[in-house]
Amino acid sequence: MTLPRESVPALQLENLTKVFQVGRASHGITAVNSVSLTIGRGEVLALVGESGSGKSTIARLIAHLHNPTSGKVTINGRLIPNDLRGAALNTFRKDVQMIFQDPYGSLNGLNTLEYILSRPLLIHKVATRQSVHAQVCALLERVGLAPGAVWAAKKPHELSGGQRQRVVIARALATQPNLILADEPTSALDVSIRLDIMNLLLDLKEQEQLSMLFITHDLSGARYMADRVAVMYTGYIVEIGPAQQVIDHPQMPYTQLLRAAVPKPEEGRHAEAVEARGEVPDLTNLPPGCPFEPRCPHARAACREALPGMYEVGPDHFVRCILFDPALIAPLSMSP
Amino acid sequence: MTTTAATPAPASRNWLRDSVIGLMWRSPQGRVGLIILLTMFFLGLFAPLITPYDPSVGAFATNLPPGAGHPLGTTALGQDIFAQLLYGARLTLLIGLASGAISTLIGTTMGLTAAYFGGRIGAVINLITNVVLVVPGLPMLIVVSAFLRGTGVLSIILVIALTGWPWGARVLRSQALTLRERDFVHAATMSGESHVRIVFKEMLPNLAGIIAANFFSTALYAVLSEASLSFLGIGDVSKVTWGTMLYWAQAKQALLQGSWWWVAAPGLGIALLGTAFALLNFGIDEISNPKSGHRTKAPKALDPVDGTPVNGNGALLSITNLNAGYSTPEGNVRAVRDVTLDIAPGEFVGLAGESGCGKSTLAFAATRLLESPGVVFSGQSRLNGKDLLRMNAEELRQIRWKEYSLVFQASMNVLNPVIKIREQVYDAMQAHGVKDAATLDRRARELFELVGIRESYLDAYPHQLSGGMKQRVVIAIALALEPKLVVMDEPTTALDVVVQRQILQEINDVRRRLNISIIFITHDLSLLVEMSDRMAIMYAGEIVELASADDIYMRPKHPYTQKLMTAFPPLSGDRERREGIPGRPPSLSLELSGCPFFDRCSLRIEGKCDTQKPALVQVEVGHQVACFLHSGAVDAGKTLNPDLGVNA
Repeated sequence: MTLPRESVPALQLENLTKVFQVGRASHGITAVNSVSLTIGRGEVLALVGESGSGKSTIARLIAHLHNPTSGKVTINGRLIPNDLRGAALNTFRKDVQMIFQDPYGSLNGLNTLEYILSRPLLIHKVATRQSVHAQVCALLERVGLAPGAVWAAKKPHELSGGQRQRVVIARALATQPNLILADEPTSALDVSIRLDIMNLLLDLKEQEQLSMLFITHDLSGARYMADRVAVMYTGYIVEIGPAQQVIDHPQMPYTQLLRAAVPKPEEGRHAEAVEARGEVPDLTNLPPGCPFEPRCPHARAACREALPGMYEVGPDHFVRCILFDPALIAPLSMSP
Repeated sequence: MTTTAATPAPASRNWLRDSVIGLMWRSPQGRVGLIILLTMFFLGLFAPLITPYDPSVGAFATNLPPGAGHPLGTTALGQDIFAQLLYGARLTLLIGLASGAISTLIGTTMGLTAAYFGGRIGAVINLITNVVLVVPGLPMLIVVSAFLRGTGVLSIILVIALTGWPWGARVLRSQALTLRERDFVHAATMSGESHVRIVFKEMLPNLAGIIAANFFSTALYAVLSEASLSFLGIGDVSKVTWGTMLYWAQAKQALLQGSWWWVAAPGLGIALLGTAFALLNFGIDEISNPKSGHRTKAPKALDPVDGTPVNGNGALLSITNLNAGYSTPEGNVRAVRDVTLDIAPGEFVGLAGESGCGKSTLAFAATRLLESPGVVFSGQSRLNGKDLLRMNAEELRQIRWKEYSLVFQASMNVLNPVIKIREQVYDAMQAHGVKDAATLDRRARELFELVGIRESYLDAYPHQLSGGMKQRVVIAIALALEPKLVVMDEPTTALDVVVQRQILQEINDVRRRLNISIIFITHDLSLLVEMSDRMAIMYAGEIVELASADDIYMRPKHPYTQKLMTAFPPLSGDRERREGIPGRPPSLSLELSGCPFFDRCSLRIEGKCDTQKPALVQVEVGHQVACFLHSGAVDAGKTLNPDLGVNA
């Protein structure tokens, strides 16, 4: 399963790291730890993990809502300085847009949809004063809110959660970005609406060759949406590969645990037993070895010594686990 | 697509209703404050028309008591006090409002700047604010006014404004700090909005209520400060204000002379003006936090029903024809509509449905936990044959927690952070008569083992535990008295999947071991399908399908259930495109004559489903459904009971 990728990826992260300094503590909180990944043109990469795993922080680093502590962000082949500001930041914003989790919090309730959608169009000179109304209507219709002119006059409180999220998506599309960062765009929505929103994003991706970072804690949503999936744990990427490979046949013990814990009635009505052991390490004081070692059923002494590297376990499929270390794999012949 | 042809927003808005005055008029407190303030304003404005006298000329006999000609008497200098009061209102109001406005402006600017920019600028502003804040007000006023002395009213306004802003700045800063982290502000940043525009167009309008409240409280401060300064003789005592009236009354020893009216008139004026500002402040609070005025009343018991309750079906909890909802200013909302449901002993019943379908209201109403503005309109809910909806407070207290208990989503936050967990576990047991320390300790250890927490955590404080641990403690407390029924409203929604799975396993073990019935509410359908014995699918306040979880998942009958069961993507198998359910549920304030799912249903029968309501009937053993595709039974006469007081 190889993916069509053009020579210049939409997004490339190299060793991206973010340490939040809290108060005067000597140890900062390492939210994102040396993350490297690539998103090809027209590709959706899902970033999955539990709360506190750093997945949302990555989106905010790429969006420059926070500045990275170290590492390199390359968008469309252009290296983005970590301390981007001023006019350069503005140009950058045109290319990278974000869809927020909570459609109730991400629209200012005092403004009309017309105002909300006209701002990015005007700021980035996508529309002129004369054409802005027509473009706002066109945007609304593109996300399924037709007739646009009727919807444009409304304020957010007149809309349901799903309709609001469509407006949030329309706002992200307004600047004609190359990269969309979708931060849990469906988790605040009802089950019956989630698919609508995911289908809309998939349609837009098809139609406009959008590249997307899709952040979620929902494995089935990631499987539905993404071409590839990256699994995060305590700020590290621990597994990355083609969506169906990673989710249907996870190799990293953590991903296996995650999959076992998710309810999946289609595989029989009775849940898998999940063993409770160990705790998530403290982000202010990460162990030198594998962060999952305290909870891992396959843990051994070597796991505590150093952070495992990423080992290839299949085509385009990498796992951060010493069980796949070629130096160890021959004598052990592990089959997790 | 979820589009509906909707009416456009009302084009012409009533400007008066939307103005500050219109807003304040909606709150009774604000209305009184507004009336006082406007009365004073017009009395001051039209003073020359109301009284023929000059307030500063002593043309009359001195120290006249109130009477004909001089309704409030005269001063020791022979001035008419009524005229002084009217003219004094002008300057007093001017000083109050102008100082209030200036200090609000300073406070708002400082607070917003500090919050928005943070960092070094924020720190400097914060320092200045704190310094001004800790300097005692009156002495500072006196010192500052000593420097500005002699320039009249303007200097008084400036002095008061310069000392009155820090409190507002603090409040505004903390509010703006939370606002800055809201996603719509991030979204504006992402759009490339300028700082100025984000502050003025996105943040400021959302702070209008606080700024207005701040204005009225600083205006109050200004009026009181002006009175104090003038009373002390600082400022221009030749001008007539209510403060200088007090100064002269004091200087001429009005009270010793027996001229109490000279003190009372300006004193009452100041008190009244202060009251007006305070009321306006409360009014704003009432409008911006409609809930704060709402006292949560204990839910009232329903009137007894005629006839003896039937209880032959062996159910632990038997809910019959329950109608419940919320009373709002616009009328009653029936969020639970004629629901009948039996829970057998030891049974795990899942309540599923979209948000706002009434599933939580059903659980809370049936267990008598629905708080105001929630109302139970009618119906019965019998636990072991006793109707919970008709018990008095003492009867309820005795069975609550002992016979049934509750765990809800945020309940890990009910743990008191400053009390050891052990005490909190003991609490419920002690309230129900377990006093012996050894028994309490033994029981607490048992409970912790039951929910999978180490005993040593009994002596920890809540903050030392993770969210999942705290939720386990709450579940342990809910099980403390071995209730036969536990209602769980999204108990694991805030938790990560692995923790959720572990807690669910423990809940399942415990309920099998102790034969507890569980009503489990969640929007996570796949989880319910795995956990439940039976599932009830709710839609717009009604149960539309009730069957074993297997039947609901494998053989759903209601078109809504069928769509719901395919609305979540699977974790294995082909990656095929699935469809959600277009449209949205009808508003619960509507009373519908037909099936509530009619609008969204692809299998609807025009002319039947929209005019008649299908009854929930058993179509197979243990499988009930309310749909004309499966049964022609019509739910007649149960649509609306006039004594519910529901506005159609």
